[in-house]
Amino acid sequence: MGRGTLLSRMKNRTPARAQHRAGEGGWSLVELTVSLFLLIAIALFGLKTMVAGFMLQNWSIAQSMTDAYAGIETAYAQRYVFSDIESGGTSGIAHWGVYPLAVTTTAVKIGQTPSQSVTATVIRTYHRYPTAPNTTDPVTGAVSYLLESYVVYQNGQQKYAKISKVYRDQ
Amino acid sequence: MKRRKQGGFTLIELTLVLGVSALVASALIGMFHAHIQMLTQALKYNFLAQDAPFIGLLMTRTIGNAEDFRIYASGAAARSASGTPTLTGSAVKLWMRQPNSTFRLVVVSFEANVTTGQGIYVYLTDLSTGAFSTTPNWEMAGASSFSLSAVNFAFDSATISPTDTHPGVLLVTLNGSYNDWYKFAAEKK
Repeated sequence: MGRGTLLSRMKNRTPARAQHRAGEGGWSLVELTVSLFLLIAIALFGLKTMVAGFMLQNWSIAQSMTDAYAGIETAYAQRYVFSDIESGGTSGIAHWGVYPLAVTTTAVKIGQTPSQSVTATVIRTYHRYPTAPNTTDPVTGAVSYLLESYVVYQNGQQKYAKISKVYRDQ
Repeated sequence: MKRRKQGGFTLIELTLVLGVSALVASALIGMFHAHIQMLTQALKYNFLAQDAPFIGLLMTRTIGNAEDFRIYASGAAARSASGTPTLTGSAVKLWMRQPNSTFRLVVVSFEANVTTGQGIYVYLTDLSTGAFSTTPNWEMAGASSFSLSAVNFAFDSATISPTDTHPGVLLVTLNGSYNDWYKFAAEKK
């Protein structure tokens, strides 16, 4: 390749400004598209992060509400009149059904968020010792109970339970 | 002809760019709107996620140390010697056993204070006179327009069965500002 060839080619080329403008025109479209897609990708990532944070916040609320309700169940189990555990007292309805024959299941409202109420299912049961009804311990002559409450909460596909166990004896 | 072609964009290019820009702009506006909504929701849920469990823990520890309790309609009624106990109210009077086996009275109440505004306040009796302090001894939690708005204490003997005569449980309900609430049992010894 000699000097003449180069000069000859330079002569045939379009003016530098026009060539630059044409190239800029094509590239600006690509740049714009890439920038917009990057912007969308960043916005989507931000949105996804926020949704994940919000879900975590909801999960945390449900955890503390179910914990609190399990605490209420514990308090009731500790204070329930001992002689009423089996019979249900004057109501005649035993709230902790004897295991496994009469386990009770109740839907309860455990809290309220700004948008909806939070409900859970409470499963109550008790274990008696001695297991046979109307019998007492042959040595001590006492009866004892293990009152169990399971606060079951379902959030979408996830299901979890908080357990309250109270041992009562006389 | 050559110069004209290189000097600007063709109609197809412009249409394409405008179309893509419009699509992207609408998507971005939608996402921005969703961001704002999520932030608003997160702020509304903040009380239940952070404040309420912490206030619950503080109250449970305070009330749990009491030997006995009574509920009153208001803080003033609880501090008054002639106040009548109720089944539900915004204040609770606690009997705290002292090392010398005497009791010191404590009132935990949700009320408006002249200087610090609405909140949960704790009043203690003076050890020598036995009279309640006229100003709160400490503030357990402050209320605001986006967090705590009310507190209710209830001696709830009716949750399990209205006809049973079992001892009641002190239930505390913390109300938020968006119709939200959080309920827990304040344990008694």
